[in-house]
Amino acid sequence: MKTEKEKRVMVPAEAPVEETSETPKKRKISGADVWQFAKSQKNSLIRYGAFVLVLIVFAITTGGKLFSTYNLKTIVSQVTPLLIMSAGLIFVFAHGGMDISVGAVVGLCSLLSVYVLNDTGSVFLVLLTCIAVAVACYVINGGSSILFKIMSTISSLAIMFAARGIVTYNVSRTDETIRFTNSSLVKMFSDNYGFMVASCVIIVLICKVLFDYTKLGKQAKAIGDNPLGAAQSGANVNLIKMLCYIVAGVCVGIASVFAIARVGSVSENMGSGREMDVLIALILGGMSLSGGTKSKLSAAVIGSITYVLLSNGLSISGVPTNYISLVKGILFLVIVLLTLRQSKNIRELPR
Amino acid sequence: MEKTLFIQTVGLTKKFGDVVAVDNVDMDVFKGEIRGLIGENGSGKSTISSMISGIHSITSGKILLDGKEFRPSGALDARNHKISMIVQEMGTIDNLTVAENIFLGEEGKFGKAGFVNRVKMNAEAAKALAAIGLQRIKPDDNINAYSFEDRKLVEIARAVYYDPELFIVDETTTALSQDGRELIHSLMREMRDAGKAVLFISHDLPELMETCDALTVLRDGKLIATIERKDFDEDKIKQTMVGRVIEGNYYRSDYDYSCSDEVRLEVKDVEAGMLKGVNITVHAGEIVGIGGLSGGGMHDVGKVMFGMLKLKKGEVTAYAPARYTFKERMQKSLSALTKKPFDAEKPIVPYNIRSIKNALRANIGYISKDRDKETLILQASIKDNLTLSALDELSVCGIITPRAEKKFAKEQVDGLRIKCSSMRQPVKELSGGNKQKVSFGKWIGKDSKILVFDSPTRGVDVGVKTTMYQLLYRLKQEGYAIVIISEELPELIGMSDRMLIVKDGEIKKEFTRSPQLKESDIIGYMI
Ligand SMILES: Nc1ncnc2c1ncn2[C@@H]1O[C@H](COP(=O)(O)OP(=O)(O)OP(=O)(O)O)[C@@H](O)[C@H]1O
Ligand SMILES: [Mg+2]
Repeated sequence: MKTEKEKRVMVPAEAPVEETSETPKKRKISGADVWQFAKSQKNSLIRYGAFVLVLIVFAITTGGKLFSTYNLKTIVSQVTPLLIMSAGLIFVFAHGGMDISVGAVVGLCSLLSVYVLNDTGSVFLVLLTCIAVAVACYVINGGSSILFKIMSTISSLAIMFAARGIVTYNVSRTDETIRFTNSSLVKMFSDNYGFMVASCVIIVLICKVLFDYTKLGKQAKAIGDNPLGAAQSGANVNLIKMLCYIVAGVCVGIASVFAIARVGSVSENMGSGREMDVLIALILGGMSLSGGTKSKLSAAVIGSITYVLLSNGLSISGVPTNYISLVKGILFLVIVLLTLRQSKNIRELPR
Repeated sequence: MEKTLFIQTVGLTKKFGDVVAVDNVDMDVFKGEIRGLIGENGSGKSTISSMISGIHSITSGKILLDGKEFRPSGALDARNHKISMIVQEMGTIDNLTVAENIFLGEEGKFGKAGFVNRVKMNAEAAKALAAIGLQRIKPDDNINAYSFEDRKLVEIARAVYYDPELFIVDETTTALSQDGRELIHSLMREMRDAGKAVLFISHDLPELMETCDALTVLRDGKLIATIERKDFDEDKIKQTMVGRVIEGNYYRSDYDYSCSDEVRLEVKDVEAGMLKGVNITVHAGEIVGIGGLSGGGMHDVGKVMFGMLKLKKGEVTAYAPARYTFKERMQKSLSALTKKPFDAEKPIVPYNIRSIKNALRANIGYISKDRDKETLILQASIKDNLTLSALDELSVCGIITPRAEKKFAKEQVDGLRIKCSSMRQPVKELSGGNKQKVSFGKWIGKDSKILVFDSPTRGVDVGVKTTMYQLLYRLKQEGYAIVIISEELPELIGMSDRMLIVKDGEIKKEFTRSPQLKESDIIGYMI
């Protein structure tokens, strides 16, 4: 019986794995090889290439102003909410979902945080409310897309209108601005840069573990590539999708506290445009928006930083705000075209 | 008769990055011959034929067609030069009708001003299908409505419709059942007799020896030898193919069909898909083989067992250990951390199988025949594919470490000799047989006690087939309940304790293992 067992893991005389891994050393590097390598590493190239490019270009055009202490603080406070949102939403994109409601959800959370803080004075309750509201939004979002089998873009569109509607209604109801009566209570979220960096690090670490080292992340990525195959390999597709939405909700909830603390008051447009920010950040990070196993959490991290550097750099170089949106739009298009071409390659002809 | 040269390859080479898939191949194919291509998985057979038929570009070297250089710009170009290929994987496209698939890229023929005349196209498609006796397939049906085998037959109809001078058949016969095989064999012979050339790829040596006029043997992308029909010798060919002598028994050698009387899987009075009132019981330590013809419903048996078909009547029950409670799972994680063995004997309980979810709870392992679409995640790496179904076993306190994954995957890659450049290579880059090995390894490593394998050895070379058979046999001895659904009768006869023949959705005949059992005894019940 023992000998039979050994057969199962018998190593063939010429182990093929090692054999081929030696060959590259012997070969000379040619232009074609470099091209091949670039093609296979396209996502990482976009991710780090965009980051380095943006960094160098603006370090020069701003004459180093980009790295002034004051500006670094601005960058940190801009990166924090975006990064936390992207880290959560990458779970949605990885399993093949799409979300455009994040801006409105941030708006709704902000509105409620102002009410809660003004009524209770407890930051803890504010944080809890934001998380609860965001999770509720995403559960409805994911739940309806699963239950009624509608595209996740459509269900998130519905959430976007609903949440934005509530915000607009409440803002238009009063003539006063809705703002924190005592904004010093949320100082930790608006002025404490160490706290911001620490929050980012902790959240990214937790997301990293969830994304790469647990069943949730692994199955979510597999679902993004092939839902049927993932289901037959043991993934409870609907449950995993739901959990992904919950992770996204928690992150968006936390991010909205940072977002509102920075602004201090809620306007009709609170948070709007965030959905585009997240999309562009992820794409700048080399993420393919169709999801799948190639998704990397670093896309959210590097992408968010690159994105903030870009908009921050543009504005301190003196580019007018309306041009900044134009530049972002063009960039979005260019990179989407690049990644779309890639997804066409995936559908290679069968052999 | 003097042979006229038709296709010649000169120093033909194909590289994928660092991998040299085809290495300097000089091959001559003559008119009026059936040329077999044989070699282990990943030896470059599909890559050579894909270059000839324009699917892959050529890295270096050239192809001569009737003495003139031929560099196809794509599959359509090759088709216009009268080269048709039936690919190893699914070659039809989802969500199109049968007719649209047949005339993919040629819709213009039926069009005026950008509109396609569907009536004309469907009529022409019906003609193409009728030419190979496939009247039962309707041109305006969505292709998704047809089974894997039927879709392969549609591909054959498409290839034949264009009346090719060179007909390439890549590993198609293992996807077909007896009747489909006979169809394709007779088509190949017809073409040869009409002075055309056929390139035929298969891992079934007896089949190759019977149909081919000459065999070209490949190994690691190199052409090793071309053997004429008069020199055919099974052992010699095998040896040329792998470069060493293959020893050991192919199938299991015992004829002991006893098994425990504990039932592990029970299909009771089931009506679903094509099945009409089917009863099957599988016991612990038993290998049940299921055979039949395509369109007879044999593949539905596997689907029913995995909860993929809605039951109209009857029920499917699996008997498997009860699931761990939360506390036991914690204990298991704890003992994994402290490196102590964990043994919680769970009682066997029944699971009613109505959905894939139920089947997974009962820990049933299943390989689908349509592995590219249902069993594998093509874009994901070999490692991720192998571990995906075993995440529960690999996780300690919910965390799956890369080390545990690597160890798990390496065992399968080595044991099944999966040919790859690294475990991080995407599965879609593997050769057909190696993909099959991944889907097999995926369930073998996991501790599923009930295995339902649909065509488990499809497209796998002789050497690894032996390993798979030995593995299955060992699992049987360890008390696993195994169902093998296969088009290959020798495989069923060689491996199963009990063999069921499914025809017209019913079980027509049951055979028990015996040395006297022959293919000819069984075929009678299939047709
Ligand atoms: N797109 C690709 N990228 C990288 N490597 C590839 C690609 N396609 C094929 N290969 C490699 O080329 C080699 C030859 O593959 P090929 O499909 O020709 O084998 P085969 O002889 O048809 O095998 P099988 O019997 O399993 O079908 C394999 O090692 C495979 O991994
Ligand atoms: Mg092949």
